[in-house]
Order: sequence, then structure tokens, then C-alpha cells
Amino acid sequence: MDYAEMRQRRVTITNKLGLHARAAALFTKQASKFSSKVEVIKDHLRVNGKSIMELLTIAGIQGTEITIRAEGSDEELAVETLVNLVKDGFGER
Amino acid sequence: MTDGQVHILHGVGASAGIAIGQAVVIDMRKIERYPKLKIPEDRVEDELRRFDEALALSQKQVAEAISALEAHNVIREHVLILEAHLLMLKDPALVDRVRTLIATEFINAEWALKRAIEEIEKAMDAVDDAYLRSRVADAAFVAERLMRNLTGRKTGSFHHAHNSIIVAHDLSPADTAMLNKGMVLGFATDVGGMTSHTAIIAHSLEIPAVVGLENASSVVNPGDTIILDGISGVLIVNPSESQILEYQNRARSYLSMEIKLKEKAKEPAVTRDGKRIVVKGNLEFKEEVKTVLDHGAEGIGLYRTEFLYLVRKDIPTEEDHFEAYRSVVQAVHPYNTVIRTLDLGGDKFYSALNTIFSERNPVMGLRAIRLCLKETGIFKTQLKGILRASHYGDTSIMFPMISGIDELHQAKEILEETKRELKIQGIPFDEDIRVGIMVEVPSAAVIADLLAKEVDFFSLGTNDLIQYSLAIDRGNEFVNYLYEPLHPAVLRLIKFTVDAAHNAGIEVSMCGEMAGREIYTPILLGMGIDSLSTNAYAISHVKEMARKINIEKCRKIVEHLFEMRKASEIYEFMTREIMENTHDLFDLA
Repeated sequence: MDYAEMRQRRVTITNKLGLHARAAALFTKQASKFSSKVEVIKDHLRVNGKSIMELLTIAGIQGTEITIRAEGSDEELAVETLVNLVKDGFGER
Repeated sequence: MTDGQVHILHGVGASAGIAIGQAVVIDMRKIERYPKLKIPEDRVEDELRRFDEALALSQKQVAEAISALEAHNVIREHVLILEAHLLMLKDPALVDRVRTLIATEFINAEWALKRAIEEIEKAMDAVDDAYLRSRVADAAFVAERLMRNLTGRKTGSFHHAHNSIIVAHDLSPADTAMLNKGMVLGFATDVGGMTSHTAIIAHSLEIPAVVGLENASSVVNPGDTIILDGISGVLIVNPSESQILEYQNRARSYLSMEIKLKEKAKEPAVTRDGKRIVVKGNLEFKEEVKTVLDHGAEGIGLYRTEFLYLVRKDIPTEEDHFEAYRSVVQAVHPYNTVIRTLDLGGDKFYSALNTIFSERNPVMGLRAIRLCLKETGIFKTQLKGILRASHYGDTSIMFPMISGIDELHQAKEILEETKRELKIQGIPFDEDIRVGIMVEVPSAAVIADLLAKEVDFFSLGTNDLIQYSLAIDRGNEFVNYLYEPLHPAVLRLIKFTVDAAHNAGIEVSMCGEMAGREIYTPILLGMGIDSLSTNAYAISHVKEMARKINIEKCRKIVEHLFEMRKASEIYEFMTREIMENTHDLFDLA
């Protein structure tokens, strides 16, 4: 894989409850709006950002640092949108 | 499964009453048995179609549940959880995996689903955050729905008709929110105790509940006719004609007993050996006053004031407090009304002020009297409202969550200051208003002898006292089995508090849930508690229990209980004792 052609950014999960079902659902919904392939990486784990079940498996508690990576025609916007969603704590509080 | 056979299950009666109806099984536990078949290659297409149909049906059910919830204007959080379920039902990690397994391993859809879910669960097992883990259960819930639709078993969670009796492994607040309450006759659950969420909801709806049935949700089939006996804690599946007749009679006599109790509700409760027992009511909204008094309350032992803060965006004014309290104390007079000062947690309080505030452990955080001593302006506003109302009827003030003498001194000092201010303004109030505290923090119970010298009365708040002294969060399903009102430690704290109060010559009341359960009445009265304060629906029951007992005997029972080492021993002893001696209370023959 040619990483140079992919967009990726690191972001820390800030909301109190972490990447739980509701937050993962929001993430998946947003990710699915893009045609790009979306991946979420935590340590050595890499999961499909459009799969809520896979997202739940990364145990994204508050304070976890994840990398959001997208590849495709709208990769830039995808990464930007998803990073902001995580930064905003999934609209919690 | 029962296959139409009569089946009798025993549990714990958590809310009295008898219901006969159709079972609606809400089973979120795993289906352990499912067909596991190798399929020939030419059946793969059929199997894939079968899976797709079950998938479409599952998606349809969840989508329907979402729109039903939206129509009912239930809180948004439930809808969001169900939306997560819907996404899972469209998730490639599940759907594509099952399809791949069917097509490449030549196994049936159930087996493929089971394997796909096991893979997902294994990955999720690595999660060690308790909150996330419990949310991970959502995946299992979704898989379960799919499995049920595949095997043709009904989920039933969102479809129930009239005469439904809800049978479930456990019921969470989220589950009960989705029930159409007018149609539900009762609850039966595998787990839970007399103080579980199920029990509380059933009590408030005045319908029977049996909990701790162990395997009801797997034994009962949806649509089975069942008899639910919340008095003796029995569930009968597929009863015979004669059993139905018998229980119809019992239900009638129970109902007439209820009516009789209501008629007697306003009569005083005097024990067999002549002691007059005062039973008061707990109150939340002023609109409830009439109901509480009609149920036979001799005063208000706990008037919660949090609603004043929760129903509005800003902080209530002195007038708001005064108006709410005056109308209650006037209606209750000549009986006494105990008004408890703000018992909110900082999270709720500050969010009303739009201030970001978060605590790691709010139950042990800045709440109740601690919050009031920090925000003294707000505290004084409330105290002024209470003092002014005291001019219109017999009123007492109660401080919640006192943990030591300093807090009490500070609170009393602010009260004195407030009194001085009112005097200067020339506003009338009861200058001798009685001041008491909730004994709900274990430290307060342990120094009850010191606190008793400084106040006019104690009120035992058992819900918090139990949670704090046993160090368990009642809302946490992993540990709530430890919530034991009859734990010897709890009984000792209560006894010590009562004795300390009496040594100092003050009265001690109880306003927690324990006060409203008849099974505890003999113990509480035997320990010497002066009055009980409970929700409206329990008043007539507690009074009737008090009429059946002999205080001297209860004292001996308490002595005997203090030799026992376990809550379960004490519970069994009490059940036996009550059945033997007060059987006419539930004389249904």
C-alpha cells in the first residue's frame, strides 16, 4: 500500500464514555457517507471505520489515541469530518 | 421449553398481586440450542436467502421500534441505542462474514451466525473498560434477534397486546420505558431482588412482580398462558383450567383485601400489644398530597424538593420555594411535614446553570448538603422559603447527607442566620421549627450518639445507607445482587442509630424503601423505630402489618436476628415468621 496517497491524522478520544455504541454509531454513519475506504487504527489494531462492530472492538475509552485514515476520492474531507467528530466528543455534554 | 406442560416456578414476590395473562418473553440471553448443519453446495443459495430474509425482518423490527419510540417521545438516548443496533444489522463485519461462512464452509445460517458472533465477541473480550463492555452487549442483543428470526422464535420485545405479562431475564429502565404500561399486567424476571428496578417499577404501577425465578425467560414460551402470583412468588406456566379458576378466586379476594385495606387506611395502626404506630407518606410534587393523605398518611415524613430545581432552567426564587411548601404544609396540617433541603448532585445542578461540571464519582461527590454549604446563597433562598411556609402549618427541616458534626454545625449556623434575616424583615415563621438530619451516610450512623445531641429528629435513609455501607452501586448489574437491606451490617447501623436517638430523647423515623415493605415492618418496629414514611401505595399495607404484630415479640425477633450471620438466613427466617403469624394478612383461601 502506498501510504503517501492516503490521508491520515491522529486524534484523542475526549468524551467521557469513549467510543461506546452510540458514539461508534455516529462515527460509522458519518464514515459511510464517504466513498473512500476508512480505517481506524489503535496500536496494532486496524479496523474498518464503516463497521460499528469492528469499531467497538478497539476499546476506545476516554484518552485513547487513534489514527483515522482514509483512501479514495474524498479522503481529505472524510478524515477532516471524522477527526472533528471525535474532537467534539461525539456531541456529548 | 414447556411444550404446553404445566410448570411451576418459584421466585421472590417483589410486588404483591395476582395476574393471569399471556406471556410476552423479552429474552436477551443467548439461545444455547440451535441447529448446526452441514449443507450441500446446491443449498447455499437457499441458505443465503434465508439469512437475508431474517436480516431484513430484524432490520424492519428495529426500525419499527425506533419509530414507535420517536412517536412516544421517549428520551433520545434509547433511540440512539436502537440506531446502533440497526447499524450492526447492516454491518459488513457481521453480514458479509456470515454470508462468506455459508458459501465457503457449507454450513447453515444459524451456525454461520454463531461463528461470526463468536469471532466478534472474542475481539470484544479484549475490551477491559466496564462501561464499554456493557455496551458491547448490544452486539449480542442484535445477534440474538437475528438468531430468533432465523429459528422462527419470536423476540416479542416491541409487540405486546392486552393482558401481557412480561417475562424477561432482567428488565432495565430502558426496557420498561418501551413497554405500553396500560397493557402490562405484571413482570416476571430470572434475576433481581425485592429492591431491583423491576420491583420498583411494578410497585409504582401497582402491578404484581415475581423476581429471582432463575430460568423463567427460557422456560416460558411467548404466548403461553401464565399465572403470576406476586404474593407468594410463584409463576405457573400453562395452568390447568382448575388452577386458573382457583387463581381467579384468589385474585378476587386479593382485590377485595386491597379495597378493605384502603377503607381501613385512615384508621390508626395499633399493634396487638397497644402501641400506636405512625405511618407517614413520602412526597415529591405538591399535586400528590391528596393521594398520599387518602392512602392514610399521618403526615409527610419526606418532602423531596429537587423537582423545584429540575423543572426549570434557572434557580428557583424564594417565592417559588415558599409557594410550593406553603400549599403542602397547609394541606397536611395539623399533621407535620418534613421538608428535606436540596438533595441534588452537582452534575444535575450545574448543568441547569449551564456550567460544565463533571465528577468521576458523583454519588460520593459534591451533592446534597455539601453543595448547599458551597452555594450558600442558594441554600439560604430555600431555607427562607421553608421558614416562611412554617407559619402556615406544622413544618420540620431536614438536612440530607450529613456525614459529620461540622457539616451539621455549618448548616444550622446558616439556618440561624436566615432566621435572623427574616426577623429583621418582620416576616413570620415558626421560631421553634424542628431540625433533623437524614442518617444515610455510614459515618453519621456510627456517630449517631454525637449527632443526636444536636438535632430534634433522625430519619433513616436506607437506600443510600445500604449502598454506601456495602459499597455497591445499585445501578450496576454486576454487583447489585449485593444490595441487601437485611445485611447484618445494615441492621446494626440502623439499631445503633435508633438506640442513640432514644438515649438522647429524640425521635427516629425511616423514609427509605425499607420502610414501605411489610416484610421489614416487624424488624423495624422491633428495633424501636418511631415512625415509618413510605410511598402512598404502601401505607395501608404497612399499617395493616403493624396491626398484626406484637412489639414485644418483634423485640425478641430482633434479638434473635442479631445472632444470624447472613442476609439470606435473616430473610428466610422473616418470611417463615410472617407466613406463620400473619397469614390472615394474605388469607386467600
